[in-house]
Formats: sequence, C-alpha cells, structure tokens
Amino acid sequence: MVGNAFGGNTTVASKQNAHRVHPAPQHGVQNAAPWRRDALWPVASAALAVLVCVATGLVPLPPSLLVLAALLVVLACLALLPLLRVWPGVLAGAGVAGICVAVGWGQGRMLALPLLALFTGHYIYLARRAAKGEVAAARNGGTALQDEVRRLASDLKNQGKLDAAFDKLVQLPVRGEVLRDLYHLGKAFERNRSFEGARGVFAHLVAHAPLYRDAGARLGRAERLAEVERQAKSLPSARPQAAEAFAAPQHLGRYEIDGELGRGSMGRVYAAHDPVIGRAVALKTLALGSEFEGAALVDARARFFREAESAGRLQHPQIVAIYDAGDEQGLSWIAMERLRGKDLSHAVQPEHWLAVPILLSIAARVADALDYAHQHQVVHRDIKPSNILYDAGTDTVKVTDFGIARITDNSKTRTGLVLGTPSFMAPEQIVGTKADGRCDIYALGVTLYQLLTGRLPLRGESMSALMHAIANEVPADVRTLRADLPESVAMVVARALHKNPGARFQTGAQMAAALREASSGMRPSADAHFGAPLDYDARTDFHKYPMADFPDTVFDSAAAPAAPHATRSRI
Amino acid sequence: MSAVSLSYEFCARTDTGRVRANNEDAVGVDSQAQLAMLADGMGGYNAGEVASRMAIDFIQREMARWLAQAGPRAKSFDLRRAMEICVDNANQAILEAAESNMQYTGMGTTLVVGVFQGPRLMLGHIGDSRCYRLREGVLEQITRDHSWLQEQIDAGLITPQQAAVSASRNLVTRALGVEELVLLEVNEFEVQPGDLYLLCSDGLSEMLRHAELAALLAPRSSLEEKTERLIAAANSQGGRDNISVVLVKASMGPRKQGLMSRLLRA
Repeated sequence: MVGNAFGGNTTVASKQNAHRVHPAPQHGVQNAAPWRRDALWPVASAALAVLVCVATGLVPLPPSLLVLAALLVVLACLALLPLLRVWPGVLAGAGVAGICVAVGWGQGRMLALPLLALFTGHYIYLARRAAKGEVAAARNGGTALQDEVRRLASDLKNQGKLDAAFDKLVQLPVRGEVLRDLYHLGKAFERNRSFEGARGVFAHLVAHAPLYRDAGARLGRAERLAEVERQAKSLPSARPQAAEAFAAPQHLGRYEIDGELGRGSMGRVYAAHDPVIGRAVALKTLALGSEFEGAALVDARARFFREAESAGRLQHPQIVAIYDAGDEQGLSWIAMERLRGKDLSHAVQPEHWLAVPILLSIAARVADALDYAHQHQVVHRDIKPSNILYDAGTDTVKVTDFGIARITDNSKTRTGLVLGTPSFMAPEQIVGTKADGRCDIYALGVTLYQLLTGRLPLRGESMSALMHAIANEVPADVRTLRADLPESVAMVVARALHKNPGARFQTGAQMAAALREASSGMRPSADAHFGAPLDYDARTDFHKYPMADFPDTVFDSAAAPAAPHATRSRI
Repeated sequence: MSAVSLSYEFCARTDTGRVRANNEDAVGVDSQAQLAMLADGMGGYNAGEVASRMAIDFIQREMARWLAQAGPRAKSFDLRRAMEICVDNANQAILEAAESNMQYTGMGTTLVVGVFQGPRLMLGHIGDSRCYRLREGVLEQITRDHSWLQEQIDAGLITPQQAAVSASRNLVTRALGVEELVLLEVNEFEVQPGDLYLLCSDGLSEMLRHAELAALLAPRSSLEEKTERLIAAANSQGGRDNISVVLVKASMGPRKQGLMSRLLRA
C-alpha cells in the first residue's frame, strides 16, 4: 500500500522533472482526443443546472416542448463538444450558447444566466485543453507525420544524439510503436550511462504507460543512479592523489594488471602478471591508506607488512603462496599465487558432494597446512569451505588467505563491521577470551561437518541465538544427518568441534592423523586419489620448507580485534 | 484537532571531536515533517562522510515527501512500511555509489531515524547509533545496538559489566550501504508531554556514562544549551570520535501557527 504511495510519489516527481527537462512538448500531441473523463464535468453540471432550474421554478412544469427540446440539444452538444478538436469545438460551442441564450431569454430571462455560466465553464475546459497543446495536436495529427517523426528520432538515436531523439519522440502520443521507441531510447541512455536522460525517458513512458514492460523498474533504477551521480558530483572529492590511486590502476608494484577477478570485503582482486618472469598472480588490494590517518596509518602499514611477511614466509604445498606485498599511494596490495581449481563452497550442495574418502583426504591436507602454519605462529582464523581451493584434475588442495583475516581485521574501517554469521567461529572466539590455533581446528571441524552433511553444525534464528548455541550446545552427530558415515569419521568431527579447546585435537598433525586413520577404515572408492604421494607430512617434510622466525608476529587474543587503541580511533 | 495535541521542538548538532580530522557523522531534522535523524558513516577518505550524508539527505527528502502526502494520521503499519522502503532505497543508492566508485568501496553508515506524529514516535535504527528517552527524570535507552558486543550480551556470553571493558566495542553487525539487504529495526513508542529524546552517535555514548548523560540532560535549559553541554562533555572526556546529538522535546499543546501557514498547509 505504502509501496504504491511511494511509487506514486516518485512518478509525480519524475513527471515534474520531465517537465523541467523538456518543458514544452510534454503533452505534445493528443490529436482527435477521444472521450475523456474530464469531459463529463460539463455534462454533469449541465444536468445539475437543469435540475436546479426545474426545482426553483425557473422553468415552468410541465415544460413547454420548446424548452425540453432546447435542453436536450444543450445536453447533446455538451456531450459531443469535447469530441471535437479545439477550434471547431469553440465555434460550435459559441453557436449552441447563442441559441441557448436566445431560447432562455425567450423563456423568462432567468434561464439564460445558468446556461451562460455553464458555457463559461465549458470554455474554461476547452481553454485548458488548448493550453495542454491540443492546438499543436490539431496541427500535427496524422499517422504519416507520426511515422516521419519516429524515423527522424530513430536516425538521431543511431547518430548518438539521444537528447535530440527524445525531443522528437516526446512530441508523439505515447502508444503503440512509440512506446517501444521510447523504451529502446531509454535503454540507449542507460548504455551511455546517462542516467539523468534515462530517467527523463522512462518517467515519460511510465507516466503514460505505467505497466509497459519493466519501464517502472528501470525508472526506479535510473532515478537512483541519477541521484548517485548527482551526489557524487556535489561531494567534496577525495584527496586528489588518492583519487588518482583509485582510478583502476594499470600497474601495482612491478605487476601489470590484466583484469579484475573479483571484489572482496577488503577491496578488489586483480589478475596480474609479472612482466619480467611472466608469472601470473592474483593481486589483492586493500585501501589501507584510506582507513587510517597520521600515526594510525603508519602503525597500520607496519602491521600490514608484518602480517603479509609472516604469511609470505609460509611455504607449503597446501598453502597459497604469497610472493610480494607493497603499498602505493594509499593502496596496499598482496601478490599471491594464481590457481586453477574451485573453492569448496559449492561442494556444500548435496548434488556436488565430494566422495567421503576424497573429502577426508582434503581435510587431512588442510590439517597439515594448519599444523605447519601454527608451528610458525600464524593462525588462519578464517577457515571455511570458500578458503579451501581444490583442483579435482590434479587432486591439489590449497588453503588461501592465510593471515589475511588478521590483516583485514586490524585494518577494517574504523567502525568494524561483522557481516554474515559467525558460524565458523570457535566458542572461545565467540566469547572473546584468548584464542589460538585450536580455533582453526574447530573451524576445520565445522567445514568438514558442512561438507559431509550439507548443514552447519549449529544454527540459530538470530545472531545472538547462534552465538549462544556455539557457546553452549553440542551439535548433532553427523550420522544423524547422514547415516552411511562411519563412526570413526563422526568421532573426528565431534572432537574437532569440542567446546573446550583442550579437548580438541591439539595440533593440525593430530587431526590429520585421525582423519587418515578414519578414512583407512573405509572401503576405498574407485575414484578416490587416495593415499597418493601428494600428501604432505608436516613432521617429516617440515624442514624442506624453511621459514625464518618472525617473532614480531604475535597472535594474542584472536577473537578480540586486539589492535592498539591508536588504530581504533573509534574506540 | 486531536485530544492529545503535542508539539515538538528539534535541535541537532554534530562535532568532529578532538582526535579525528574529519566528521563522518551527519544529522538531519525537519521540524515541518517532525523528523529527526542521525547517521555515523564509516569507510576511508571521505567515504564515511559520503555514506552518512547520502543516507540523511535521501531519507530526509523521501520521508518528508511521504509524510506530506500521507498526512499526520497515517496508519502505523503504513508509516513503518514507508520507513523500511525508504531505507531500503537509500541502501541501494549507497551500495551503488560504493560499487561504481572505487574510492567509496566499503563505505557504510549507521542510522537512527525518528518520526514524531501526534502522540507517537516511530523509531528505526541500524547499527550502534542510539536513541534515549528522558521521562520524568529517568533516562532510558530505547534502541538496542546492532553490535557484536550487544549480540554477545544477548547470547548470555558476557555481562554488561564485562562488555564495558571489552576490546571489541566498535564492531557493528548491521550497516546501511554494505549489503544488498539491510534490516531496519522499527519500534513504536508512545510519547508523553515533557519527554525528551536524544539521538546520538557512539562518539557521545562511548564517551559518557549513562548517569552522566542523564545528569547533563536533566536541568531546565534550552535544547541548544543542552546540546552544547553534551558535546562539550564528550570532548572533555577525550572526544575520540565524532560527536553528534539530536534532541527532540515533546510538549503539550499545538504550536502557534499563523492563519497563513495553516492555510498553506491545508
């Protein structure tokens, strides 16, 4: 209801706007105006006048034949006059009025007055019609001319002169082919990203044919975008050097940007390559310089490089490699390995479920990666299906965004934003007490639960209900959702999801071992690349992937954003 | 006119505070439409300012227009829907601006908007900007923050005492202009003559304790003086964030109106 009220509002407004933009021709041509509702007014008032005349005795009852005939003529004329074009209408009206006055005069004078009043009203109505441009209508009329105007408009449109084309089209009655022309013209404006123009066209279209295709929706969109354009122009623009940095960069550091891969919560991700060695990378950008100022920025940048460096020192076959990090004019970036393969978020859907042995093998390798990272004091803090990449062709598993969660956490907008649900957070993170690598074990447990059953272990109606559940409720055994799972798998999941971090697997290696043991008890399926030598053993392989110690990378309370207050100026 | 006739007085001010270089808060009042609103923007460079300014301008304009059309006796249900639709449109507009301008990526804003109609306050909010009500000397917070901290409290995980010293104070769980869908929490309150309403950003509520707020609002003085006092107090406590205050005072009796303005309004 109110939605309509609003819709009505916007239409009114846009009509006015359309008037403003193209004032003259708005109601351009309404040739041979058909019956209109407002034409009923003179008829109704005439009938009323007759009744009044009869009631007050101005006309004697029973009326003479002459008076009756005169009244009938008057009524008929009043009904017919609006059908005429303006000037014939005026002349005919004047004639009828003359006759009426003469007759009325003859019948005792008093009748002449209401009749005169009536015709004055009628002329006002005609004058309004004329003012609305029907004079022009009468001059223009005719479909041949209409077609000519449409052709002209179409030519103008094809030449890119959209405004001129609209000036032509707006003169035509909005119906039939003209609707289509207007619609396509509006779309042409949209393609040119001229939303002000698109708004004018769609407003005109909607005003006359509210239900034409999706014109209403397009009008709404054009209005919003025109508004945005206007606002963006009127705003104090960002600092000049920043604006330059933000214009889609061609280079970042030594990398040449090839295109955009996507937009993350922290900023855009670009496909890029190193022109010297030809290596393809993914560049994650972060508008760090835009989040902080002064001392806080220095601090935030130091932290950024520290975190990027510590994440960059992780060299492990199951961890997406970070090659490089840099900072240019307020835009910080991280260059990382660009991979084939898909993340596992799609594998949550039952129709895309992975075979259990494959899944266990993937989870075991992720656990290896966690073990390795935890030994190097790096906590992932954001383990979930979408951060695990899997290439089925080569059976390769890679964990991505190591340490990124921490970087973004520390450099979020001053008012931090927690969006979505904390489904993968461990109880100790939810409560905000000290958290460590064992929260990654928990998150891997949730991930495994979700990939096995298609459901999250704990859910809640609201965020606080979910948080309460994570802190207090024991999730249902995976076998209640998927009866074919062996007990060993259920035990691994349950242990990873234990509320008390001390009762979980204490290291990734423990969890990996338990996962391998659980899957060795299962009948190996034909399609599983199971037990392939790709598997990485953190305990033996560890020394092949040296990593310098980096004591600066502390991981204190993980759940609490834990940034010093200087960077959190919002307190 | 209606039996209980209330008139409203508005006063709004925003201050950069003592630490920030720019003011990302925005306030708006419309005494004709009896509309009060406040937004606390976030995002880099001027993006926070952009988001809050856009939200206020957009919602103020649209709501004033709707209210003018619907008249003073609009149904609660309709008013609520109007606010939701209006906020939804503002959300889309900010989101589109953020997506089309790289420098605005990630911007968003909190919002608290109050529509006063006769003896009724329809209050909507998103995020951690608040509304308080002072009635007969008792100050009460009538909005519930959409923040991580508040969720923790609601889930029974921490006590309000623990919350007071928590490190994750500034994490909001809802904001305007960051996602396709945003849920405006709308509540309806009955207004009594003498009520004083305070809309504020966290730059005020984080700097001053509840009791301090109550003490500053209590004395008899003009709304302007109260506003000044609140901002000065928050600044004297450090002024670590932008401080915004909107005060709305409800009093008995219709506002004095000339014949002309009444005619024009009709």
